[in-house]
Amino acid sequence: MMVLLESLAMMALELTAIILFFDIFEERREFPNRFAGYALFIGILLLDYYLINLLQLSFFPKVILLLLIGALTMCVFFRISVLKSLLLYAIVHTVFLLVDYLAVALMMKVFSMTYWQVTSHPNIIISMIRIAEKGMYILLAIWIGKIYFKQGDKKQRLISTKDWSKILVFLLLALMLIIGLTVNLDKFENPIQADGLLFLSTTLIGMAIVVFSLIYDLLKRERIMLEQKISQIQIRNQLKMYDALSQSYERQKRNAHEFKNKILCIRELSEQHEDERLKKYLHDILGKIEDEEEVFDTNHVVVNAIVNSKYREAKSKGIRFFFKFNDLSSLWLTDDDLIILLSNLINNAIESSEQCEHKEIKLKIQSGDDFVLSIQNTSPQKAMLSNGKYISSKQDKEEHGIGITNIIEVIEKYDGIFHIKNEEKQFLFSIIIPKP
Amino acid sequence: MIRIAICDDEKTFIHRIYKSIEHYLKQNKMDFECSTFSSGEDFVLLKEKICDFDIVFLDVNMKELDGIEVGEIIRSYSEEIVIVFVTAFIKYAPAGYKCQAFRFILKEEGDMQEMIYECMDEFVKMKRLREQKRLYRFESLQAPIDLSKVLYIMSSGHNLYISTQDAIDEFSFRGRLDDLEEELSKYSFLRVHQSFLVNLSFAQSISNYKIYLKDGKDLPISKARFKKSKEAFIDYRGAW
Repeated sequence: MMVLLESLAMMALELTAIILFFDIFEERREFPNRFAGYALFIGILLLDYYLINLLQLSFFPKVILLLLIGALTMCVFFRISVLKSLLLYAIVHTVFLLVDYLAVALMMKVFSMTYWQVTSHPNIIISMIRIAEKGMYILLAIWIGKIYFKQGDKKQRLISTKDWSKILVFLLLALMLIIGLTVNLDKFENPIQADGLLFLSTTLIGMAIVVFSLIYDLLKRERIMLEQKISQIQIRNQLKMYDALSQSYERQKRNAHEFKNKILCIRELSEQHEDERLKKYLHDILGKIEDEEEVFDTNHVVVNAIVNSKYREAKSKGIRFFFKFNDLSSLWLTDDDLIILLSNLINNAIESSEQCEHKEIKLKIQSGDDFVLSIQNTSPQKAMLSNGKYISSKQDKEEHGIGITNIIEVIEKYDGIFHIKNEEKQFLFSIIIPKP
Repeated sequence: MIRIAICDDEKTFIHRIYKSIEHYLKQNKMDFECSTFSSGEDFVLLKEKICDFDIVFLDVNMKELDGIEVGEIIRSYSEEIVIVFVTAFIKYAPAGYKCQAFRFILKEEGDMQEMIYECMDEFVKMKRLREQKRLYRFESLQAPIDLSKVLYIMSSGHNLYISTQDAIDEFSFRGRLDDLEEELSKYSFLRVHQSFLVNLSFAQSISNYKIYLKDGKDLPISKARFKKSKEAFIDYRGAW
């Protein structure tokens, strides 16, 4: 009875740890209700127990059967293909086996027992230790999960899945080394050989830990540098915008001042009956007014400043600029975020359409039940995608890629959704942000 | 036949706008009729006859009744008439878009003609689509259906049921959504589920595996179609 309970307990812990491990890399399936999940868990546990202990199979068929059942089990709990599940399961299992071997070797040393004595667990203390060891698996899975994610944020992975597979292959090789050396462990009655195994296992695990720490530190440093770079670019964009704003204010002041002068001049010319000169003068003034005037008024100071200055820039480059908007005075996005969104979106659009024969930008900003922001522009060729970041044909590919990353960060901050439709001649970036 | 109205208190602008429109339509070999009005008051005197026009070019800053007010009066008669505001000062813009203005055109030297061309281009495209939508013929139905009033089309067994704004399950006929999916996509219908083809112009929002309509109803989205449906919805909201 004790043996049964103990086996079940250990298997339950192991299964939990494996599920936690899989959780790091894969998406869980949704179960109709929680009990279905738990029932399945227990069912599989009992099945495993039956297969391992009651079926009389030799070593290799047993291992393969276990692997298959384990992988299929994971397919049930996670959205994953059978092949991928097999690979991941094999890797996870070997990692745990590594820890297991170390524990067994330790106990052989401490209690001066043989391999068989330890694994046939006649002693309660040893059983407790072995169960505790399975608990260690769970801790291990959580620790690795922490490294893999930055503060539990699934989207910000420090290491890519590809890099992770390399690390795990390293572990696999280490384990294969141990297994190779200890395949006949049950024949070792000699404490010296047990010591040798202990030494090997410890060294390998020590190496693995050192490698992990090194990678973690390197990644942390890289992340800090990247963040600094992003901050710098954001600050630069913001300075440009505040510049545009203050220029706008300066212009207004000057205009107010000159207005009186102009009226005086008009009065003068009219009193002198200088009709021709008056006509020409009025024509000139109108031209100047149109140049300096705020063309679009959305009732939002920051949006006005950005869009109007970008409109002027686009016009000077021969780009047709269309703008559809409504009253934006009740927009809930912060000024900083609006600056990031609008300046990056419009800058990209200007750079892109500039290179075409038919230069056109259509901007839409509408605020109502939700907030819709979209920009459509002609583009010379399909923009390239690299690692989920858009890179342009321009020299400063890095800055361009970071521009789009910034936009996406802002969108996600407000729980918005977006889609980029990238066709041969047209580029459309649409964003919907729900009302908070 | 396209029926156009131009309303501006400055004769020179009426003339310029007319010339641009005439040039565009003659170039594209389209028939048209154009009426001009020199004040907002004159235009609104027409009352319901306003609905005869397909597109109206309104000057924003007129004396007495300004363009925005005229726009609101037009809207009280019809949601369908296309309103284009022509203005020297765009400061009136937000109010203008309240009347669902199709375009805003600036009275500038060279630009205006180009803008009118672009506007007419888009207008003609939209009008054609609208007309096709209004009188869409399904193979097995005798009468044409106004697609712009259809919320969604549901399939059950071998039959299709059309759900419209006014009545539910008013029409049913034999058919398959697979056949209609591509044809109706140009009228913004989206296949969100094996059994549902939704009119995106009635879509309010999308969340996990459901699409919510403006009248509060919701339809399921199949997991396989979710990604594409979400993208199509976002594109639709972002399009002009």
